[in-house]
Amino acid sequence: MNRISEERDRAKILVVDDEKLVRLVMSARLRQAGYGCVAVGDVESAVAILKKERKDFSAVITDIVMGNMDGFDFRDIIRGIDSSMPVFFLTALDPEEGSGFLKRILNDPISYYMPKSVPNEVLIRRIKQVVASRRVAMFIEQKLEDDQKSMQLAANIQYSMLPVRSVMTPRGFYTSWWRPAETVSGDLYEAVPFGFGCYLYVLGDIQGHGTSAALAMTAVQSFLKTLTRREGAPYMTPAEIANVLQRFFRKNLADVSYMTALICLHRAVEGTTSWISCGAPDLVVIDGGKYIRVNPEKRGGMPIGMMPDTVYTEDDIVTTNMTDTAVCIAYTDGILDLSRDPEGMERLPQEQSMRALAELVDEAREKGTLPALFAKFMKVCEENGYTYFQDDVTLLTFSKRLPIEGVYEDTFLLHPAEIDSASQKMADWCRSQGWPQSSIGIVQLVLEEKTMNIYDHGFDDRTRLHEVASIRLTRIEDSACLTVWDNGTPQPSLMVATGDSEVAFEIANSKMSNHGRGRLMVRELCDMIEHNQYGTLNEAIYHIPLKGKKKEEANNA
Amino acid sequence: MKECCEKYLAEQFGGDEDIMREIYGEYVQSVHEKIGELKTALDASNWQSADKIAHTVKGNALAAGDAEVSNLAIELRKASALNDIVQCRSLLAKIEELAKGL
Repeated sequence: MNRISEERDRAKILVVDDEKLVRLVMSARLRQAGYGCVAVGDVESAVAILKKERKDFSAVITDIVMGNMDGFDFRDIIRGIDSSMPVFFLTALDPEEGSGFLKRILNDPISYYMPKSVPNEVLIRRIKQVVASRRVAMFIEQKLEDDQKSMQLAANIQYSMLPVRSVMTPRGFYTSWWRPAETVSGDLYEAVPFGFGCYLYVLGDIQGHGTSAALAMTAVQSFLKTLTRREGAPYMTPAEIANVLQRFFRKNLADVSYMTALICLHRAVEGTTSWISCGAPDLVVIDGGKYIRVNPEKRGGMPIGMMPDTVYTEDDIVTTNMTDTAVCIAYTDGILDLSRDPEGMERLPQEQSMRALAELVDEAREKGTLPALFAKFMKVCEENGYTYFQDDVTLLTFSKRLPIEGVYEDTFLLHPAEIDSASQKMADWCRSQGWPQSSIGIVQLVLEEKTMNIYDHGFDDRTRLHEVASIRLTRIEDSACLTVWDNGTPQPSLMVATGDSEVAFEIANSKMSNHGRGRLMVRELCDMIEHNQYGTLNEAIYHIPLKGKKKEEANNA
Repeated sequence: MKECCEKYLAEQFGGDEDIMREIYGEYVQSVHEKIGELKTALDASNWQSADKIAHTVKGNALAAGDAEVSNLAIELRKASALNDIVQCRSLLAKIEELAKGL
């Protein structure tokens, strides 16, 4: 068998005509010419076949006038299933009849007119041309699909290399927001404990977009992890770290790109931040709802890796004294490219974004909602129409941690052991506040149920095992108000486990509640549950009666 | 097998007699069926249905290479568009006559 015949054997044509004779003739013609053929008498069967095995077919041949549906409606359905499937309209209609069918056929660039009286050789020649084009289209489609899968894998790897979204220590806290403009990002950030009461934050923006920037990001992120965890690292200053990164860049990535970076050393106990900007936007300090300029001398250096002989010195470092209430914000310039239009003509003005952020920081500081700060900020941007990302965006905020009277805050990894420990710590705090013991158990139960559900069902892939939940607990009169923020799936997590039908969800709920767990039990324990969504961040607020009020009411009833 | 059909089908299928016989047999059967359906449609003055059936007869005749029946079906569609029952019946009678010889 020669190559052409082999190719024809693989090409399969779907014939749809309500007349058996036409199906018979077309099948015979195609098979004789070496093509595979499936012939059906109605649109429903054809649609079922295409939905199941569209990639096996190289073209569809259909009549225009059929019993239950005309060929054009059928073509619309085909386009919904496969936008590049060639469609031949084989018809006995005469173009001179004036029904306009020819124009309708040709409105679609991959539809072809073929009279029923078409000579066999013409039909086969035309099909051969179209099948060849279809092969190319399918090859490109497959390539794009494979590329998209690879990119998604790369995105997951990138995400898993980042530090956890939010951390609270006894002295300080940070929270972050990272979003690629497309699938992968050239932005990176690292946050590591750096000696007693200190944290090192590095925010980098590799110049350029796409795969090369993303590869450089992963290289730098890996290098940073090694660098910052090696012995003696906490004795390095931000300028020394910048110099090491400069050498790494020149040695490994000089021909690829360069990186703007902000390297900050936050000493929560001393109340200072030493930082260096290597071509990146300056650190922003917000205090009392105001945006404070902290680098009047315009210190800083060139982007890392841009020039071969750049050396960063201690003179490039800015040391900012921070009050107990000051909050630092580091950001990549992608936030300034957020726009109202896809072309990026109407961009978010810096003053406006900083003002909005300052207001939100103040409110978040006061109410203990800092873990949701950036998600809420993005929501404000979205509400004002700034929804188009022209560049990767990374935001990082950190500050000294101030306990708020009557409010308990924590951030912990979503692992059973961490959840258990977090629950115990929360219970200790409740006892210190004099809450009744039975109520403390209920609050613990709600917290554990929620976070274990996120752990069990909240993530589509296990590359995100470093996800955290942030919580805030306070008392409002006779109720405890427990807020949980997480980045898991936005829908009730059991839906993921049991399929997406409401019925299956309720059945699963009911089964789970019989075992002392599950959302029904949580509903029973709470007066009210609020769910909010800020981009990818979920906020669940549980209002839990503190004196077993609900149970007593039930008993009375 | 009608001569024109035999010639056309032999050209199309390289003289494969099995295929030719199968297609021709199906064509003959379909013409007889459609004649019955056309009669019913014309008796009920259902012009839309008559037009659609005539269109199918035309398509099937083209597929089998029967130009005579195909041309009569085209004429029948035109007469049906003018609601000309006399002409329609006359054309149908001619198709029926030809069908007897298939």
